[in-house]
Amino acid sequence: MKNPSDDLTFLVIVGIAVMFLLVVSVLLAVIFNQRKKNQHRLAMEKLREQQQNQLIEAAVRSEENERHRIAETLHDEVGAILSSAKLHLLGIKEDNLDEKDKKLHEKGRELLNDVIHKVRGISHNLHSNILKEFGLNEAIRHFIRKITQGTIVTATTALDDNYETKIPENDISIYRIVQELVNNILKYASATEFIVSSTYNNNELDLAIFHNGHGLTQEEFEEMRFQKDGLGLKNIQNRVILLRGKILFTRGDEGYRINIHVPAKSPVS
Amino acid sequence: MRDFFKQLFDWTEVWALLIPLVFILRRKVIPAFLKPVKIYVFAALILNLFAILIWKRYRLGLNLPDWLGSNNFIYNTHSLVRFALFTWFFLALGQHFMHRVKKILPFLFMAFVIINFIFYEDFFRYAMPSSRLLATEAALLLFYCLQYFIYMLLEDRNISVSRQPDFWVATGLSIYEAVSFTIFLFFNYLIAHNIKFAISIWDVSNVAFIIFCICLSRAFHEKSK
Repeated sequence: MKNPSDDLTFLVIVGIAVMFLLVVSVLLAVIFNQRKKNQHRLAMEKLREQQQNQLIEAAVRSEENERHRIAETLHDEVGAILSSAKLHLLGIKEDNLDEKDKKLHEKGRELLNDVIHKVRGISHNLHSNILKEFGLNEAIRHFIRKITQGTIVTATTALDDNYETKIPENDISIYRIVQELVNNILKYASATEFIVSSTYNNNELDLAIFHNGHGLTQEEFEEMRFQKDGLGLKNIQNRVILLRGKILFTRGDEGYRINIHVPAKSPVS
Repeated sequence: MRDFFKQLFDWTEVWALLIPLVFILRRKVIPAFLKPVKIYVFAALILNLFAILIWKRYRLGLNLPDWLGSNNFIYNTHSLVRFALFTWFFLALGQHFMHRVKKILPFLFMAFVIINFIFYEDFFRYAMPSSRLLATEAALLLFYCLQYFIYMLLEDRNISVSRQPDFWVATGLSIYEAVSFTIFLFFNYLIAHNIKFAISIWDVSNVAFIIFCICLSRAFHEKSK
């Protein structure tokens, strides 16, 4: 005869198994669901990052094109008109002028020379032909020389001459970053000395700008680049994102340092 | 050797708790929602140690007073403590899903306990723990765990579940309560009709308790990272 406790024993074992399987199924459902959600999130993040990079690239490109256009107009049109004006001014015979007019003629010539010089400077600043023709290192050296001319600031450049241009658009971005940072140092940091150096290893460029003024820390940079008057810091950050590089602001005992790392496969495609 | 392993298994409810205890002691700061779990580990360790000492009193040569003749009231107490602390844990998580139900359940359970032990059962019954209490407690805690998992499925949170301490607590608790529910439900009947099977099936509950303790350790380890 069948013992009723045997049925119960069976019932208990089945009960345990069913409950256990139920909980395990729920757990697996949660884990797979969460994994799916995370995969979706990662895909969305990647897409968002791609879109952001495309937007940044478009903005940087259009800014660069606009700079080019203005530089060309200044150089070819305004510069040509000013040069023509200078020729006309030089065409005036000084012998026929009295003392007062001679002085005015002299002053006008000086001012015209000054304007021509300034327009050429602005044009070169907006679109560096040196960068195009002689490369990044020479463009940076030239820019530093020019910007510190006639000031009390001592500037030193120690750039790695092994650097080779792989993608010209990247050079423009790196040049603009250096330009913006050096301008900021001269404008706001009250530095009396700065050094721009670079090393180039395994197709990776490391630029460092050191100065003895009052600079920014990483926290201040992160904070200020979201401000409206962000000293062009947002522009710097955008170009760094575009290069897929890194920028780091640090404070040392003797001054402030800005390190820019541009990886081997930084892409402006 | 066989006796050694048998003794080791008999003491499972005590030594298994030492695993999460190590991780708790390594932690300096415990987040608020894990505090009930921390208290549970300490409380369970004391209660289980007490229960096993009563059970093994003859083997250990302990002279205990008459009212400590059975450890069943300790299992009942453990059940109440576990329900109270894990209810606190699930409420402390601050999930808005079924919040009102989760708040009402402890009061319903309290009413059930009072009515059951006034009119139907003796809390200090010598022969066996209360199947009714243990099974009800297991069912309610299972409900808490399942609603937690449903919330995780519905909620659009982008997190890695394996890195969430609360997930590990709920996982361990759900496995333990799912396995133990059927055992608790039929335990009184099994003791009366098939005591040998009742004793062996308690070992299954002990294995589930070890898994539970490992999951608790993982919860405290996740937080300590």
